Amino acid sequence: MFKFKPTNYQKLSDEKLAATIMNGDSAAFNELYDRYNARILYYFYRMLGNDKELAQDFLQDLFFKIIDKPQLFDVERKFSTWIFSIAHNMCKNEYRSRQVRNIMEKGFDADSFLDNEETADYSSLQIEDIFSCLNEFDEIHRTAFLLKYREGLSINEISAILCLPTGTIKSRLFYTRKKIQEKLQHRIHNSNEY
Amino acid sequence: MDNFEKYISSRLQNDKLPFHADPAIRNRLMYQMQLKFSRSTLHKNQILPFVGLLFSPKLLVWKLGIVAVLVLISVSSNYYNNQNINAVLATDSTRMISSVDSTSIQLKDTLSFN
Repeated sequence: MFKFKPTNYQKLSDEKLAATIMNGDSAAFNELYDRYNARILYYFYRMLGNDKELAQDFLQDLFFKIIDKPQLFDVERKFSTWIFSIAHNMCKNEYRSRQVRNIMEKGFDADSFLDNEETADYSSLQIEDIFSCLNEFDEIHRTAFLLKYREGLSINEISAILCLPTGTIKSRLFYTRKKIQEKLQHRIHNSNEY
Repeated sequence: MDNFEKYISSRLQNDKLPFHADPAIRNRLMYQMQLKFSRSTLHKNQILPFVGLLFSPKLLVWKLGIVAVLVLISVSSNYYNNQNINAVLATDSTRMISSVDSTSIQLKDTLSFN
């Protein structure tokens, strides 16, 4: 005899859940929110200058957008790529409206990178030291950096999120990494002097 | 991945925020979800999309199939009914009248009682 089997949402992929949301399934939405709220909140918190309230507002707005137009999700794409591209666009708009960001590329000299990375001891550094260096970059450098090293996304996925060629992503990641490394080593050096 | 990349990656992945998403956000989102899709359910119940679909060239094969089945049922039903009527006519015409017009029989009955 046929028996109704309740859907186990935890076993469904993000893409299937997103497709189910289009039919108004609130349980699927709940599951997706569970999976992504902490990741997106972290992203907004770090991208918006460690502002807790703003990060919460942006988190809510992003999921409102998903509820409002779930049909914009292309089921052929990865859901994580889609949600992070929405998050990135929201940050970009925020920066534009505030006009607070200045790219710190002025005075950048590729030859000034330190070569002695193996000898540096980073254990004395705090996570906030990394973010204070990262906050000096524009949103594209920061997004690429966070998506790569926090979210562990591939270069291709980051390229899809930022709508930039993979070569550009690689060079921006390289630049950001080297610049942060340089600044952190400088900090270590200064703290050892005192 | 060099040492610095590994260091950065592990520091970022182990970094945890000192707060969580506000539970009120989930409640508001769920409410919004219900609100949006209850609105769209109302749209689904309108007659216009159904009529539009009925007269549109979409699913033409299915529609023709359903019409053909209905016609077949109607024709066969008429055919068998006519056969029965003919049989009654041949045997007993009075019974045929009674089966055709039951109201008149009732009237006759009531009249006889009165």
